[in-house]
Amino acid sequence: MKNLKLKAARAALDLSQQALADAVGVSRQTINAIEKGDYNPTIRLCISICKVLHKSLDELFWE
Amino acid sequence: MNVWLIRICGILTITAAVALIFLIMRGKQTASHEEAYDERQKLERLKAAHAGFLAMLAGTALFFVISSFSDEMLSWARLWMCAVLVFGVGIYAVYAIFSDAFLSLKQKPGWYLGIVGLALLGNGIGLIPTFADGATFLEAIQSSKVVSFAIILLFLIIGIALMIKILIDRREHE
Repeated sequence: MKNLKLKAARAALDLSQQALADAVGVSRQTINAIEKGDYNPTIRLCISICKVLHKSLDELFWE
Repeated sequence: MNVWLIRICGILTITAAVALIFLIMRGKQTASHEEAYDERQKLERLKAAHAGFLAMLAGTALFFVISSFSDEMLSWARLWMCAVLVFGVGIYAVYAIFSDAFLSLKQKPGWYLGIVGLALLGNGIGLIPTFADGATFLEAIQSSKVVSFAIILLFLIIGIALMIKILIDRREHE
């Protein structure tokens, strides 16, 4: 299932996928896969993404 | 003291020292190597390794089945085993490349393609004397030079897959 919340939060901060990937220490393709719903990140990665985007886990990853 | 005993002790000591240095360097390399890939890439590389292993297993099984019907196949054993290795490693590499898990976070495709080119050039040059001596292709692949052919084929597969992936990524960016 696509993660549109993540995409929206990233766009709100005007961050590219590459920039977000560099900030959390993963590849751009991993961020792309998370947004497309092709990959379920670990809780550690979820927390890292939330910290960079200044959002809570519920706001980004809860359905 | 026996001279041979001293020599054997010396060889064993040097071998142990080299092995220890190798293990320490490999331990450091593994630690930094693992960090170079993100969690998704590690999973995909595991799947790729699994696919490659199964491919090699299938190739080996096929060889044993065919050779049970034909003794002539045994004379092609060296070529077949090289082909199985290329098949397995090739499957692993292609799977990893198209899953964006072949190159680490820090590696650049252009740099890796350069290494592929060097490997192709080196092994290609190594084959020139073989053919200059008048050996045919069939004779060459039945000799010990089959390893060079295998390496060339493997790096060609990796190089082509990488280039296709680079083109796909560029189109996606556009």
